Amino acid sequence: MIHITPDLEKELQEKGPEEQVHVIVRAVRVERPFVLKALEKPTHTIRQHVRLINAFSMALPAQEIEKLAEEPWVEWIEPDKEVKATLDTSVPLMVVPEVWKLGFTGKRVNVAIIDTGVDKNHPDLTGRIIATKDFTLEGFFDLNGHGTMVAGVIAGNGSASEEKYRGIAPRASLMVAKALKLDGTGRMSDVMAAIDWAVNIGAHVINLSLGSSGSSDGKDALSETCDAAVNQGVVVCVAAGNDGPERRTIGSPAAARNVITIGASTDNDLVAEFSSCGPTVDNRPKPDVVVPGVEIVSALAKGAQIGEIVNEHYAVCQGTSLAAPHISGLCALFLEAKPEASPALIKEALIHTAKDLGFDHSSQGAGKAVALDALNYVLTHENPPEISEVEYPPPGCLGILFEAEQRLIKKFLKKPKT
Amino acid sequence: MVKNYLSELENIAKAHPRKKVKLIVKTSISADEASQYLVADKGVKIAHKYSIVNALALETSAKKALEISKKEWVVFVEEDKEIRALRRN
Repeated sequence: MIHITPDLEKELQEKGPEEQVHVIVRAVRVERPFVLKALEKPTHTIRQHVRLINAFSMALPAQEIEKLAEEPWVEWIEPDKEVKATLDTSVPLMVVPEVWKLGFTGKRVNVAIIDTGVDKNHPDLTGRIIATKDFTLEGFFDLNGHGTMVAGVIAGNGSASEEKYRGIAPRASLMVAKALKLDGTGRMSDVMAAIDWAVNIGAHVINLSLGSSGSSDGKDALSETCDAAVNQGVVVCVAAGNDGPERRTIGSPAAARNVITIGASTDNDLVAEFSSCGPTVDNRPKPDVVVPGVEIVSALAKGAQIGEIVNEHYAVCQGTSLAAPHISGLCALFLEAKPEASPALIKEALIHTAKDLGFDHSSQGAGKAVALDALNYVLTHENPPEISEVEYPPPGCLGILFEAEQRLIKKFLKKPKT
Repeated sequence: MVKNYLSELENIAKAHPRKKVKLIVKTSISADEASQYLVADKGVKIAHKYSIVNALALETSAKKALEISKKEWVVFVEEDKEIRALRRN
């Protein structure tokens, strides 16, 4: 029986024997530890376990694939193809157009973006930037391009693309603080000052597609400033970081207790390999949810050199930086629908209605955020009395059944013959 | 864990007392009140005073920073670390 899919066979013909190939290995019903042990070799890099279909994504030399395919527990091996989730695909993947159909587009909601600045003249953003402040002393412009891409995901109206690259909340108002310099770096103290500014001028949502390296316990000054903003009623959305798939790679301010921490997924519902994983240093679960953050097309600032250029108005980029603004945009939609919704209710809604993708909670959080379900939750629930850490829902039913079945099989096999 | 900058500050102050450092000082009093105590201190630049948390961002010499960190109204001192945009290259 052939266990290698034809497209992988074709790919192997073009590879050298020692060249690394990214594959997905689907295992027959054997236990995960058994498979992990069988796959464990110095030349193999195991990246993910998709529990729901008992498959493993991994990289190994081309010459070893045929041998692996002969293992009796291997059902099939296929290439782990590169996938793209541009705004025109990531938005429907999160069931956002259904929320637009209900009339919610972010009107009367102020979203603060703390980043490298924004190109105020980008056609997708003009007329909706209601406040700006420069904390870098460079002047308010965005020659880095990062902040403009973030703004496009949150609130781009797609006017330069016949609405193909429309952001999540195309009628939200933007307050933009430039706290990161041209090279994309800044200081904690400036980001804290920008948060302070945003809270004091009436932001409803703050987007932070930024962070420090190293893992955090959420007790640093920047994380505490984020928590203080949430305690004042502002929803704070933070990118999880790009240091995955290793565990405990959640830095600051992603580790802050009250913020919504967002990891990146692909458009075929895998967790992006680079997305930072929890738990935090003090063992709290993070990230909270994942949303698309791979190969996102968004607004390109004039004069910026960022990502892969699509045309004069758009570029492709990836990272949890591009995932976080999807959630910031969603929060704007929820707050238009229910202005009195608290940050705690919104966070709870996103976690409780997320779609379990079958990955470990340390990488996917509660799963992928689903806009319409989360909106319904917000509209039908009261604000919780206080912000608490919401426990993740249990793993998917199929996962539980599969694990239970394996335990039964193991028990049966071990039963002595009488 | 958040590293208390104090021990590092002590080492810097010992080796290079005039070296400029950037730090965030968490205080037990409001930033406005804390800044009053620093007005007379020459060579201390208050980069930011925060209103939603009790904290100040300062730029000063290592020696001066160490002196400030020992004030009774100082709860914690932290290095003003670098933050990056989380775009993946």
